[in-house]
Amino acid sequence: MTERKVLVLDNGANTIKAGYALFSQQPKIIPNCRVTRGKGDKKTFIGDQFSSCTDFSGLYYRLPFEKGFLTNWEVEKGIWDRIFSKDVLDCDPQKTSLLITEPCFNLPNIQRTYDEMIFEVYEFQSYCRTIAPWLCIQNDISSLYPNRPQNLAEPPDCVLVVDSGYSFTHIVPFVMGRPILPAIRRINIGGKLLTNHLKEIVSFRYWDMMDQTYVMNEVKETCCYVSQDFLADLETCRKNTRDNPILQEYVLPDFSRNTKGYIREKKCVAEIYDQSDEQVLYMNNERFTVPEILFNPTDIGMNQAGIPEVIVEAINATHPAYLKKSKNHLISKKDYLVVTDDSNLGLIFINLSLEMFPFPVNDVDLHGLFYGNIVLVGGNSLFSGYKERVEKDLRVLAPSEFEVKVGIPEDPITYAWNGGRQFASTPEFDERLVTRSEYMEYGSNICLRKFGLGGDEIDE
Amino acid sequence: MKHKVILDQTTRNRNIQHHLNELERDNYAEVPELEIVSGTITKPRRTSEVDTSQNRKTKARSKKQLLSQLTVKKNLNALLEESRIDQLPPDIPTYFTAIAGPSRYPPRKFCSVCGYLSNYSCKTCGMKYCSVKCLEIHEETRCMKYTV
Repeated sequence: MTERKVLVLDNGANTIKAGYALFSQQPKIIPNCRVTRGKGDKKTFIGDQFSSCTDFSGLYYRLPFEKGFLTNWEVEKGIWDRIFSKDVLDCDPQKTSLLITEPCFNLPNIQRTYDEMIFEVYEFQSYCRTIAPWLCIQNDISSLYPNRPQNLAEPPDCVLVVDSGYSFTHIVPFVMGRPILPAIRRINIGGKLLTNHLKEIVSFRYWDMMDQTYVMNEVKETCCYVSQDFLADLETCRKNTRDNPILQEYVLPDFSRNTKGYIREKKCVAEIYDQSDEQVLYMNNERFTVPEILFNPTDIGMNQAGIPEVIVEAINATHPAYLKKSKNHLISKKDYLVVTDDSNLGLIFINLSLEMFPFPVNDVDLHGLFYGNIVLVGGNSLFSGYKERVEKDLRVLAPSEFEVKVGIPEDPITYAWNGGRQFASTPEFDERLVTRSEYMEYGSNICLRKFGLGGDEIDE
Repeated sequence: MKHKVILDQTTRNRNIQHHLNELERDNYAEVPELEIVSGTITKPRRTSEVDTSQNRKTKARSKKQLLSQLTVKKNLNALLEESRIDQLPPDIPTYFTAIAGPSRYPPRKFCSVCGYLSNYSCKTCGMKYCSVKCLEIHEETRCMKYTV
């Protein structure tokens, strides 16, 4: 494998996770936006410059992503220029290979723009474009399930990735490292919608926070959690302060003294009038009704099912017949078929000689494999109680003969970037790369062919 | 007697859709004149290769043209139409086939004022409330004030 400098860019709608594959263990997390301040000093912050901002009032955000797709290239170019500059990563595109993520089902015209920007404007040496959940499974998935017996600790063949991010939530089933495209599902609920909803209800009930996206995002990340028993928690919130452990008092930042808000200890009645110069936000049922939208989008009137139900919908849409033979198909090296009687294990190794394709296992067994290997990634996975709630709700919906096992990495935000880093050091990476000379000769079509994850649906 | 307006179901649905679109906004207030970007922009990195001056001029011009072409602002709906993925045969998976279906459970109703469970909806605009107190607050502040 040739030694080359690989830049891994997890190009998300909220943040970009960027870093060199060989040199860094952790990526730099850079906000993917251009922020301007309307009043006052009228400063502009691009990307990581936002960390130097101390006054969060009157900010105007310009995001290159719209509903999860990269539509505003002018802003994105500005941010990428900043990332490649000496101040951040000091990248010379002409000497670097790029591994970049795109959203699932990215539009073909947007994909062409990616190719043109990367090869003709930035002039990267070579690049590979893929979806973030695919990079997630390049990690060591079996380490997410610590109770699995050691002899079956090889990477599972069937994995279901639930990527709940800023713009939307995708549920992507993978078999043998390839996504089953007809079974991918998308819920249009993401972190942005949750923050905006929180802004609205807080502005109606307490203080007007509609302009303060940054502060409300902090409040959401600090105070909100996923409830395990929604109706019981709702009843607890009605009680008075002493019997209500859910009520939290969040002190809002005022930009003269403290720039960061914090939760303060609940004051008893006598002390309430002492510190009247602090603005306090009382977070009661808002704490768990906001993340509840992920599990029940109908709460705000969106006609879609929640995450557990869509997991079931996606798994039911998988079928071995969808895995057609493909020219780029990687034959598995495993050469035995193990079906255990103990249905709790759920790991099957399959002989994949081309004559036996499709799977010698029926679709119901395939479903069981997915239920046993679910991975939660994305920013929304950081809500406390998220994993337990998904397990609980899914156990109710899944057929009783299947075991439901849900894994969550230590850092769901950088998990895709980590997978990219691992992938960049494998020989498969060289096979998937498109070099600049190949692009100049064949055009965007070669990118379509090499990066196409489902095989040959487009040709047929 | 005062004539009370009552919205029909299509208008109510339209209001709900409008509210959902509002939840996708980046900024509450639209202030487009702030787009003037001041001098904190980083200049793009100069290429390390050395071209002959003639080549560099033509290369730079076509690059500029390409860049101005690529940075034309298009919103997502225009791009979706342009991609023509809705004209593909139905068995090919696309952005549209990936939309998750509706839930099997009926929607839960929450009071729009306090957030607890609600049993009643406003006669005029259809928003939910849980008690007479919340209904009074709703009628004073929000009813029919933010309709499309």
